Amino acid sequence: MTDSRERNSGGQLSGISSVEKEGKMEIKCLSSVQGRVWLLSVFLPWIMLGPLLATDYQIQARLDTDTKIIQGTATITWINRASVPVEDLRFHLYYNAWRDAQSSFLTSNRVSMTDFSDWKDDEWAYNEIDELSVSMNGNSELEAAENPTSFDLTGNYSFIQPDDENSDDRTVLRAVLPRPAQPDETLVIKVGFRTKVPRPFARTGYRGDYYFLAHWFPKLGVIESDGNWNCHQFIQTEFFSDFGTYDARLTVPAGWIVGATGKLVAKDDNPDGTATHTFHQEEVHAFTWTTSPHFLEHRKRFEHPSLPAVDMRLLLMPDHAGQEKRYFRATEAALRLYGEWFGAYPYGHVTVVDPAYKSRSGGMEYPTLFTGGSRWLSPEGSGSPEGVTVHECGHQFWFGLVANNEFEHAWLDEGFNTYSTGRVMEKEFSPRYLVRRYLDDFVPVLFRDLQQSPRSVAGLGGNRSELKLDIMSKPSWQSGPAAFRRDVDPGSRVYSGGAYGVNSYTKPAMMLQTLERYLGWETFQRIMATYFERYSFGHPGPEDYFNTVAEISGQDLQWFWDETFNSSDVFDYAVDSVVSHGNRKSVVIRRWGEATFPVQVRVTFENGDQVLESWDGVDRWIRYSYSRPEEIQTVEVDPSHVLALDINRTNNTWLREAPSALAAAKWSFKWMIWLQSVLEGFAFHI
Amino acid sequence: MLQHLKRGLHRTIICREAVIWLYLTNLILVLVPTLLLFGEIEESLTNRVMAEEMSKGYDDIWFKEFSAEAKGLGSTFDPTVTGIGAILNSLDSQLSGQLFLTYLPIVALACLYALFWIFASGGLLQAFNRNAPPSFASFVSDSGAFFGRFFRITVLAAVGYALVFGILKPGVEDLLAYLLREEIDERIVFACTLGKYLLVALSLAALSMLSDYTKISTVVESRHSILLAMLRSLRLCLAQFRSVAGLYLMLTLVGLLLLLIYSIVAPGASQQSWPGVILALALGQAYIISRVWLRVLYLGSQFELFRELQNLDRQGDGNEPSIEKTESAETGIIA
Repeated sequence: MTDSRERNSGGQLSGISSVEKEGKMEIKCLSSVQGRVWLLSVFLPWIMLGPLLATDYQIQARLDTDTKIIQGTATITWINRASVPVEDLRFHLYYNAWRDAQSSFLTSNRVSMTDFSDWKDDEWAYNEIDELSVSMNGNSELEAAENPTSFDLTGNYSFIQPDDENSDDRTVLRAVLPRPAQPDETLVIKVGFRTKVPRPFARTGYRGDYYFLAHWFPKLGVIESDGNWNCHQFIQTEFFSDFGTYDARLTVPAGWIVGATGKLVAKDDNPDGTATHTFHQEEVHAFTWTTSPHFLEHRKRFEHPSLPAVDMRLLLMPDHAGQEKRYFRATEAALRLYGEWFGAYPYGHVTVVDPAYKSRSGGMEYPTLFTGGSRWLSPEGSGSPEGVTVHECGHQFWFGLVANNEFEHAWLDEGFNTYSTGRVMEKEFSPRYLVRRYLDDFVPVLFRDLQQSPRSVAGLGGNRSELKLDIMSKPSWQSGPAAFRRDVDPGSRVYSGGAYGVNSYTKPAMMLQTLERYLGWETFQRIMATYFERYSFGHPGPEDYFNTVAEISGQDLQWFWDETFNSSDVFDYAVDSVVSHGNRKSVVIRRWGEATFPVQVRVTFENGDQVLESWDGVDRWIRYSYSRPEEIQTVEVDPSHVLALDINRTNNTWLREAPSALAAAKWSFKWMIWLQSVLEGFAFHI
Repeated sequence: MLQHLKRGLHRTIICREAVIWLYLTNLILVLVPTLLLFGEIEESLTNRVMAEEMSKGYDDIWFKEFSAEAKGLGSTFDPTVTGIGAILNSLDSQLSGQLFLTYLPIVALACLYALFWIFASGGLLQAFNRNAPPSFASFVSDSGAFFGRFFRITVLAAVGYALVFGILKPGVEDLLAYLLREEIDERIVFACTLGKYLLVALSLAALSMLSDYTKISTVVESRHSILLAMLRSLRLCLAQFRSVAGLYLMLTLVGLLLLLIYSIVAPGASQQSWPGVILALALGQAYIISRVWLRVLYLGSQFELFRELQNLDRQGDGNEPSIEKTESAETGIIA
């Protein structure tokens, strides 16, 4: 750990110097035997299948901190990986989502409750294309030399809306090529662009002299093998891109610290009072950066006997200066446990950004860089910044490496990562306690008597109202709309944010937790590790995961996916009644939910004898009868908590002499003191 | 000021029965909603294993499931009511103005309690004025005699509170939002927020003082015009600002001391038996009694200060028109 400025060279994967030759990667040098084994295992499919890299970017950008405009050029080398000719190019212009209030992002249901009429000029943003040209040089160096062809496409493009009919949305640009690009043909595209940086919105923008710049440049969509572009409008804050190499020269005021995807390979001071920071990174699918004169820079090296070392760079805001160790500890925990469970982090470096207060850039993942998030006062045991740090670092694995299409299947990384975060938090950061903040949420009080569930998501009990809004298999960008909670508020001002959150985060996390317990950790860990190994640097979809589960577990689990992924039904098993007549005892178990799952029922008698029943859980109810003199002491449905998806765990148990009155008295008396204090508060004003 | 506090304490001892009655009123008012919540929680936990968890400590899975289904009073239940949280939660909402936006039936209940206080204030102050323990009949009679005037004072004070929470606080917040629009250091924003709350607290204190001295003036000087009484107390507060504010600050410090003591002894969630639960309840009730007593102490001490300042005022300005009765500053006996 040092406070030194970064001055380093090289940006290759940790311990490797890789050279791509004719579609194959030659691994020249590895840091350790374990590293070799791991790297070979990760890259073997990549070596065998050929590179998936399709898009390389060379970017030059200058940030004008007075006008908040980035003037830049991008030279994009793009290979048509489709098996058919491609007639056009499609770019994401994400910042146009905040060009005006008519964009699909701002008119979407998620934010439509917001009134934008009082937005000031500096709150809006845009991406403008000043220049667009393409060189189509054929499939080989010989063809390129013989037939150098460059076409100016400036002005020859239009905005399209592949996802909705909102003609005001300008987040997808289509440029028609002068001739179709042939399969495997390489195009060199030059884009001159201007980006107006917004006030913070959707985790990008500026506040004061803190800038966080994500999805800020014109970015190509992903060409599918059938020649169709996967280039969705920007409606949700989720993304999808090709892997590629990024070289970026970023010019900012001299003295400002810059953190970015990749490694700093050069820093040059310019005569005009600026400095240019050059970053390089291979095999990533986005380039994000941040700059501010206020960052405190810390470094530490993550080392592990069987995982590649990782240089961690932490950019900390001054008001969080005391939280350096907590950030590093959380990052190390994620790198270690994700590495041990799923597979290693290969890049050799990671930048952790502690976002500025109210910059709304916290808690987001980008390749080799992520944002945490904390408060000035954040007591130990609160789980902050640890939880968000583990989660966003975890996204380096689920999304950074296994790069599913977030537009369509956000659950494949958000759900996977929520599940994985929960496991890390349970292992490394337990116990955590409930925290309540006072005085406009500034002053925290940690309640040591109120221990939180070890997992970050412990159940679906709090999500009942959202679970039925939509099915998980619905493409993420289509999830929603927001549901007005008329049952809560007839005036409809209280509303649920739609199904996106529960179907992308909570439900899939509980789904994986259920699967882990159903199959056993060893099998499940092999599934996850295999999936990670197989699809690192790839773009898997749900079927890829389902197939991996079936292959490794040896079980046909289609019924499970039908009950969860393809359905909005909920699981709810309950002990309905326990009856005792002399020596005759009976227990009725019910299925209140529509979804079915095999469960065990454990009946414990007062003499300690236990009976474990297995029920396929299909019928609406089942009765177990016993002829014995001992009274039934407890009945537990799903005693091992396999079915984490059960929305009501309280009714899963029956206890003959439960101290419900004691518990109710204890808590209602505490509430009574609160109520009495409220009354005294009113009396104070009299 | 210590003398006023000491003599105010004496006044509260004179009115100790009234303190107990006010506390009992508070207790009786909250019993029904507490029983309703008890019923909701008990129903949720009847014959459930989670009852054991909740009796030994806390189970957040149960709480999430309970709150997801809870409506009405149950929706106001929050586990942070444990320990000092019960008090902090209510004080925080009092300072932020959220107190008036609590669940409507609770606001109605609180307004009912406030009416009792408006009623009792007349009896309390008249008892202070007579410096003798009131009989039940005289207390009720005096309370009734002043109820109308005190109610009008409360309405005027309510207008003031509405201005604080409806204009002053939002105005300061807008100003801070504008000034701190580019601020990225939470410590600075926090300092400004503290400043905002200090301003709100001072405004509330000023209104409270003005309201209290208006009532005291109404009783001591037998005023029928609350506007004149208010002007009189305003003049007194401004002319004797140091004394008035100093006493108020001292009383507030007493309140903070009580809060500190309770924060040390306030029971968490670990009671596992009926004696433990009862003891926790008793400690909470002791604190609530101290809050009632403190409110009476505010009135008693301010009454003492008013009387002293009234005498000084009279010595300095022999033409004070509204004082119809005089009282020995030494004994407090009406002559």
